[in-house]
Amino acid sequence: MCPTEELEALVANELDDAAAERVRTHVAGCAACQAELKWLAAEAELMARRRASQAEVSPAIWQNIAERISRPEETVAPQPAPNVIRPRRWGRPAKIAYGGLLAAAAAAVVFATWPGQLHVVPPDLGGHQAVAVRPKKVSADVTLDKAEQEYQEAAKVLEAEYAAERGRLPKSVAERYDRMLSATRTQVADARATAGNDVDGRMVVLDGYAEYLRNLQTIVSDIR
Amino acid sequence: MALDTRDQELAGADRLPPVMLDFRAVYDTHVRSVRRFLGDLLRDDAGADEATQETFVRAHAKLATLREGDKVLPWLFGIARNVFYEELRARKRHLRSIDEDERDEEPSTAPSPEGMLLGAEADAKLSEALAELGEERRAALVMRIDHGLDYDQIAEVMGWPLSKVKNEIHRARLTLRTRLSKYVGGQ
Repeated sequence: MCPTEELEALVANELDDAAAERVRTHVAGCAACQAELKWLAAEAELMARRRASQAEVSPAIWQNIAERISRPEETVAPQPAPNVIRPRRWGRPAKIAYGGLLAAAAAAVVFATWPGQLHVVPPDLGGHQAVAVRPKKVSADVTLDKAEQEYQEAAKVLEAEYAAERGRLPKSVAERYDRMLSATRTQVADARATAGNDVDGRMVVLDGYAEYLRNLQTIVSDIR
Repeated sequence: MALDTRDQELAGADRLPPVMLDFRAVYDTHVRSVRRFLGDLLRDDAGADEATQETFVRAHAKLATLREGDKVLPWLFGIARNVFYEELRARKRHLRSIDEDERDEEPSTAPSPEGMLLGAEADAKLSEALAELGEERRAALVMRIDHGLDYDQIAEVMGWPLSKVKNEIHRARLTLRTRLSKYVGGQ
């Protein structure tokens, strides 16, 4: 029996002359293929009638789309791909990097905001040098420095993955991604410049790094 | 297959580099196919309109991820399929949250009486036969016999191996033919 696909191609006039002739010759001597061909032709006719009778698409659909895509929040960066046909395939370095950034974020939040970590009980409030809450003072700056460094290391890994995949993109698309990433880096740098040693300001910097890494991760997974 | 949709009016537009695609042209070229595909899946005109809108908004946000040489319609169907499943989950949650009595009064997702009157008998039977199929099998079938996607493209949209695509479409066709044999007289 002929493969169905060849019969379908015959019905859709997609075969070249030689192939069409070969299939027709086979069909002429094959009752099963004659029946199959009849069904396929009927299917094609039903579908063509259905398409022809399809109501016009409401203009309101485009108006709503145009209104939504003109909003800034609908057009910012590529969305995390919900498309099941492109499952995320993280390379091992990226997994390690992202794990690292989560650990860094957790460390920053816990250490920088945990009061007991940041001071010893002063003597004028009844404390004694020998009974400080922490025998060794852990500075918020040190912790935030460490977190920031870990974000930077994670960024280096993802940037390397992006650099390795970038060549697969059309030039204009790659340039668009570059601009987007550059803009996020500038935001982080600006936040860092104004944060000084302020803990809240430095947490904003870490949020900026997290955003930058999310963008990088989305781009790398979308390229693949 | 030269083109990926039978609604294609802008010949060649489908193979343009993505950065050159004008989004409105993409919409104009494919909206009827996407709307019909979602209508087949959702069996509900208002829901299909909303899902079409959502599909194109998401497509716009992801346009930069479309690679040169990618075919647009299968890519749109991949997005539409996800939108459909999200809608389906939302409907199931909604159905679980209402009483049985109220559920009986919910609008049916079957074609409206007006729609049935307007359609020819065979077309109505086709619609009924399609509705009998499970969502995934129906999606695969209409992508093949209505929208002209090849088996490889359907495999990519559905995330299935090629053998499963062929098997599902074969089974769907058998169901369709059983229901339509009286009208088509094929066998």
